[in-house]
Amino acid sequence: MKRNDFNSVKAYRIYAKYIEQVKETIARLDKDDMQDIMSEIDSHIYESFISNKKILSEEERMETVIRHLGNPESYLRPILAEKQLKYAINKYNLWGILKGFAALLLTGGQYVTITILYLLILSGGILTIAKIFYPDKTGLFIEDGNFVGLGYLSGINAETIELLGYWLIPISVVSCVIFYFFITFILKKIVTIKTKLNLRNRGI
Amino acid sequence: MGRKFIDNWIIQLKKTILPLLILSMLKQERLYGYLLIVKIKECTGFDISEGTIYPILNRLKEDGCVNSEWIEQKTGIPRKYYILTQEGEKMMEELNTYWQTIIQDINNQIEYEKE
Repeated sequence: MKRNDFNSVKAYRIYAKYIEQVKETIARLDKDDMQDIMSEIDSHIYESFISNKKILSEEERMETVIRHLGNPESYLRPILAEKQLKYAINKYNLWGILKGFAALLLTGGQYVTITILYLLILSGGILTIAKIFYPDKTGLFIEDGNFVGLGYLSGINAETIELLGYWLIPISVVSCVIFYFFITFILKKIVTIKTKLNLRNRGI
Repeated sequence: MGRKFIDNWIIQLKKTILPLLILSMLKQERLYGYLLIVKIKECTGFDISEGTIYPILNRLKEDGCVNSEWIEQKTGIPRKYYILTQEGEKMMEELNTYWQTIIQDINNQIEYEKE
């Protein structure tokens, strides 16, 4: 839309600010995809804007349209994640692929991510049990001042030193408890935000 | 507790059925995003947000179920029309068959419970 499409300066400013937000959100996409998304959002805003023409003022109409669209980061996130993953696959860019998968997990699979984090807590429990049954092979190992490993090590050299001893057990237990409460707190936040969004969208 | 469960269930059901609804509407005519939202609201009463519809349309396009075409308008603001592909039609038929079967099975179960 252009400045000429508006009678109200305020309505135009609301529109321009929102479009700027969209541009920033999709800045990492290639030119064609950027253009396509920008044009589609622009077209959507225009179609929504010209409906209800008789009922509301331009400013109110634009505010309603923008409010209904919502934060561009929220609704463009799944599209961005898919496009970025596609670019990375096309370029055989491993780092990009990993980032794309991570983004997709975050958009649609918060619970998958959370599940993996919960599974990590189990590893703390396993470490505690391993320390009881294999005290010499389980712990925090260093060699010549360098980190060798944390956990169960089968092949240990004479130079390898285990640092924590039986302190590993309380440290693991306390870490697991803290980690558990932290993840649960995050999960609760996600559920609260999702519920609020669902209510705001009045149905879907 | 009960109300919250029902509300969530309705939301999930609507989200699940939306791709089938979109494909069936595109079978009748090509549509652009805004009109699709309006038509869905008219036909089903579903109040769909843009944040829901566009990612689904993008997904359907990536999967080859729909194509899109920009068409210039007198207003100067072009519209992006979505068109159902043959692949999309096949998918719609499969989804519809499954949907009808589920409805039938659930109805049979509910009727059986009543008896």
